[in-house]
Amino acid sequence: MNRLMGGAFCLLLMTGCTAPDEASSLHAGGSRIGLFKGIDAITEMLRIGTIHPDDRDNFDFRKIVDEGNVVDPLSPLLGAFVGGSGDSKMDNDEPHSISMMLWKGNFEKLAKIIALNCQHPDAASIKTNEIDVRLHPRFAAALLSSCASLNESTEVSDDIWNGVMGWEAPAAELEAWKIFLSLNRDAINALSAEERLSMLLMSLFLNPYFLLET
Amino acid sequence: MALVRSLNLFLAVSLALSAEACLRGSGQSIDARRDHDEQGSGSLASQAPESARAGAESAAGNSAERPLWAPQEPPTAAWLAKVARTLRKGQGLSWEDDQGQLLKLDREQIVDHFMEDPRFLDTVLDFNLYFLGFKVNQLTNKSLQRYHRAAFTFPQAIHAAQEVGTNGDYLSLFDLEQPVYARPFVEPTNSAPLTLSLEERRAESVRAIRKAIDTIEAAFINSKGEFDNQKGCDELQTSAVRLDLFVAVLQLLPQDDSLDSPTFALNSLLDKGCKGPQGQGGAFRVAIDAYRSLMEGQIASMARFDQSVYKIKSLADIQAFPGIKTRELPYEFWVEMTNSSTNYNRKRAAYVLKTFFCDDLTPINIVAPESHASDRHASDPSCQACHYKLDPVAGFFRYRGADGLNFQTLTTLAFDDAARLDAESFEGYLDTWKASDSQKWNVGYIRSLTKIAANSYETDPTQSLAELFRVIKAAPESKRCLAKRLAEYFVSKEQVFDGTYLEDLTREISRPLASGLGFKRAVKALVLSRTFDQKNPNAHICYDPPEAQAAGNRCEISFIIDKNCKSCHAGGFDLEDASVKTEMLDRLQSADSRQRMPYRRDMPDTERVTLIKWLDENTHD
Repeated sequence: MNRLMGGAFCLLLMTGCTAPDEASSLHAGGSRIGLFKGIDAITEMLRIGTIHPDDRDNFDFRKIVDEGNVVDPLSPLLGAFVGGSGDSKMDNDEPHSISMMLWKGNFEKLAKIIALNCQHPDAASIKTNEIDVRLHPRFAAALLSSCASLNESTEVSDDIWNGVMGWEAPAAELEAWKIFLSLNRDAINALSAEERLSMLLMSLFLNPYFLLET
Repeated sequence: MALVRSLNLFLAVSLALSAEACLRGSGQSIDARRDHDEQGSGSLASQAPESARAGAESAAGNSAERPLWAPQEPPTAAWLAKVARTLRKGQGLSWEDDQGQLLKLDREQIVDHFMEDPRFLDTVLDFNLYFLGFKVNQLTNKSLQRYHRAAFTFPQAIHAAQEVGTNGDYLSLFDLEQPVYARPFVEPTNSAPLTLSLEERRAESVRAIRKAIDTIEAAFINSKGEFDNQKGCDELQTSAVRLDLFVAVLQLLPQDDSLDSPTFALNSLLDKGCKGPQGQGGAFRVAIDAYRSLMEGQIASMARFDQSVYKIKSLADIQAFPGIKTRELPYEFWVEMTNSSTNYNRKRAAYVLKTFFCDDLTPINIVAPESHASDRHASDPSCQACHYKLDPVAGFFRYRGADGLNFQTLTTLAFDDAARLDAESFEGYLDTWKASDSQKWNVGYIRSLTKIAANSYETDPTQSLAELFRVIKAAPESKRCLAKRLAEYFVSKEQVFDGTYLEDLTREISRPLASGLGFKRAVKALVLSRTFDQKNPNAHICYDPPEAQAAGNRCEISFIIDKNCKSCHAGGFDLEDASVKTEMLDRLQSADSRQRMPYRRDMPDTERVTLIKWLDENTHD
């Protein structure tokens, strides 16, 4: 099962959900396109779109990634600058099976934490041993409206999408995501509330327009 | 399992969808996006707002200069989001931004709007650290200092960013002399009982600092200038200075694992005073007095920089200690750029060439170099391809030993690899940089081996480090490098840019006394560029200026050929002809002055390397 998921995720990451001809040229020209944005850029995106404005300074995705790994933190493996070297170069920004596994595992961790909010939707937050921040009300309201069953209203879908993806991805990408949700409505609704929300979030976290330089 | 199925379905469906099908959505927000996208695809001439055209014309500033940006199309939602992220240090559009209102502005106004945001100066600070080679993760955080300590470690980064905020001299980035920026004073962690008030514990720290300085001074006075350098000084430095005094300082300043620049500079002074021959005590006295003055200044500043009143929320809030300047490179630099008894400061020189001149020392043949170096590696012709320019830059660091300590007034030098030079070998070491025909130093930035006047040499051997930064600041190459890094940072690291376009950016940031304004205009040009707006750009194509795109993948070299070859080869070259490219390759790389091109003319190494690499890649395809 894991191999199947891993393969699917890697393919998804490489191609995105829009047309193959557009996606296949992501690596064109040898630029930074197709490389990981890095953990700090991802943290900023999550901070801006999903976290309550007053709590943004207190959210750090690194703390979720590195929880329990203080001695050998994993976060530098997700695209980070070396610092203090005299050479401003990002390390570990090339997608490969190991880095994808790390990203996927840590996004799953975050998605599950967020999905737990179905149990207390009025105080939606991200709580770990080191983080305690409120979710952005607009994002939380949209996301948690799918706790009972998938809410496919345009406004809700847009708010979930914009909360994670921001406003840079092509409109076609959002449209494809909506079609995916629509086509799989029954399968998605068969999931538990937490599984459903996790799945929604993972389908965005692993989108190349979120994770990669495009 | 259900989740797996869903995601696999998602993948299968996604791949099956055509772009056309993807666009058949009915969502309102998508329609809004499409509207913007469609507006953006209209005819450039018909869509360009009047203000944009006027802006482009006024952007020239001088009618003889080409406008930095073309008339702009109306903004799209995606472009707006990208500009926000780029200019606000990674923070893209948020729920709080009024996107509807922003999209009513033209592109220039949008860029101006985001440049007014305090986060733009954070972006400039981040770029400065990137340029200096010390970019960090998480530049800003929620700590008391707000900014990563690397920013305080490299005061030139803060200084130049603040200058951008006031339209001042951005090129202060190239100055050695810099303000020393204060971090908020926190509660001291000395051994005074916690039952005492904060003021009392601070007073205890102050007493400790003064006592430590008095102790050192007393040792000096007792020695009457003749204390045992080996024994007394080592003990003094190790126990009194490095422990007691620095601990006392750190109790007063925020806890940190590095030493502040002035403290480090003082350590260097003390080292000089202590390790000098008998009778060098004068330097020691100067050092003690300087340190006492420094610390008294900091003590006097305590109220001003107390955390209760000195709150850093944005870059503009950061203040410098009044009356204190540092003329040293940061401790972090010396720790990273170690020297050794074999590399003779070449690591430091390679950093300078790469960082400030964008010269990564790709080896290329040179014409009949004359050996001026003593070691075999540096004398070998093939090695000279790099060493002819590397060694003279290394010479700026010739008196700097381990940890960057200055040994200029001494007759010995200690390297980071623990090797030590005695008086005789020290002289031999310095001979590495002595010009063969005179007593002058062969220290400088070398542009030509045949036209000495083209080079920038050290003119004051007593101020080597200051001389290095004088040369850097005066060199046009350093501004060109800055423009190149600017394009890398704000657009893409791997994207090629047309040479004339980079020259235009260089011209902006080189404006005397207005480089802060010029810097902003250069950044504005980049985010208004076609390259920035390009979806899925080809890294080998130049999109700016618009006419450059016609050159295809030759745009990277067109400027170089025009600049270096056209005066003799007015008709240009048939670059479709493989034999022409092979001939060019051979002539560019020839070490024979009769064959080498450009004939009897110098060509910057960075341009020669770019041309050779392009020809090599496109000849063997």
